[in-house]
Amino acid sequence: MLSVVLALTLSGPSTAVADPGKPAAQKSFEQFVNSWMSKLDRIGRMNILGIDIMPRDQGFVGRYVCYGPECKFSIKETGSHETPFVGLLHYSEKHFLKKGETRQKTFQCPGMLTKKIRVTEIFRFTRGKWVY
Amino acid sequence: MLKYLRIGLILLCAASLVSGCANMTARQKGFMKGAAVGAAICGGTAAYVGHQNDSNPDKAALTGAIACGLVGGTIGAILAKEDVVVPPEPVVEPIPEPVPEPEPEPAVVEEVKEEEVVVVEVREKIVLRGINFDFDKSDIKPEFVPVLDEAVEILNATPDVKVIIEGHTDWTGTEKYNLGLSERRAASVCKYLVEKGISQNSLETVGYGEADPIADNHTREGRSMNRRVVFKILE
Repeated sequence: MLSVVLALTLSGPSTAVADPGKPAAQKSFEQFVNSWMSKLDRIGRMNILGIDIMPRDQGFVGRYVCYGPECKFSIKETGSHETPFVGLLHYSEKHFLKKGETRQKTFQCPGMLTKKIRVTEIFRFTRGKWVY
Repeated sequence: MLKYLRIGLILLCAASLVSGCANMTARQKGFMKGAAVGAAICGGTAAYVGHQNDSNPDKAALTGAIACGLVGGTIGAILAKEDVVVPPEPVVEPIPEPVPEPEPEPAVVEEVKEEEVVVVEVREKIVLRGINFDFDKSDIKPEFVPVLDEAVEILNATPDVKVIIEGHTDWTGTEKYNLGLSERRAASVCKYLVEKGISQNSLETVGYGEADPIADNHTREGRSMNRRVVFKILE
């Protein structure tokens, strides 16, 4: 008896339901997206710090890429047993350029946006979690 | 005995001095070197032999030195390489480094406002996540299908575009292996799209292997983010 109670207590609420229903999947995707965009934000900041500055035209230039932070997301039911939902995340991949007379000035210069590409990421909800 | 050594040494030094002349040809130097070595060896030997035989060692040394000097000189001259006349280094005017044509800056670079940004070449990217092929496999698993079908739907909504299907891996495994693997996976996805009615002519596949990571390959999470299939929709 004790072991059964202990097992139930330790297992806790199930978070890995294959098909939790659309509202629950929507909510879990929202959390997933927040976490994902945070990761992309970290990558973007690392790209700025690790910018490769090269000499060019009597000065220096460096390029880097950042993502978001604005984004939109939605989920879709698929009818698939293995993957009942897919999640769509839309954001922009932004390409920046820094220019300066010296490496230091280039590094300190605010980046100029040179290109913006629309990105759609498609994730799958399989075995109760968003897979990437 | 010392006397003979002295004679030999004197002959050797004299010959060495002569052989060291800077303005001699290689053949002349060869002759002189050969003569010096021959004279030194034979002169010394002959003097020693002459002494042992109670004959005149000086005369024996001189005779031996001359004879062997001539023979050694001839051999040295034959063995010497012909002079190679090295012309003096021509004084060349320094040629200015070719200045590469400056890469044309995108017109949007200078004082650009976000609203004015012109998207160049790549119009849109579709990143397929969770297309995690089994080790060394490139077959489409049932759980991937909804992701691929969603991508097909997006591509169908944007007809008459060129799409590059890129395969990317993390850095686990060798570079060569990852390159081949990413190519096979991109091709596998391409095959699926064609089966779903996307025109083969609009598709192109590229495997980048581990060469284009977006995240840190040192972490498990970073490696997961780097494993991806990307559709680049061109203008």
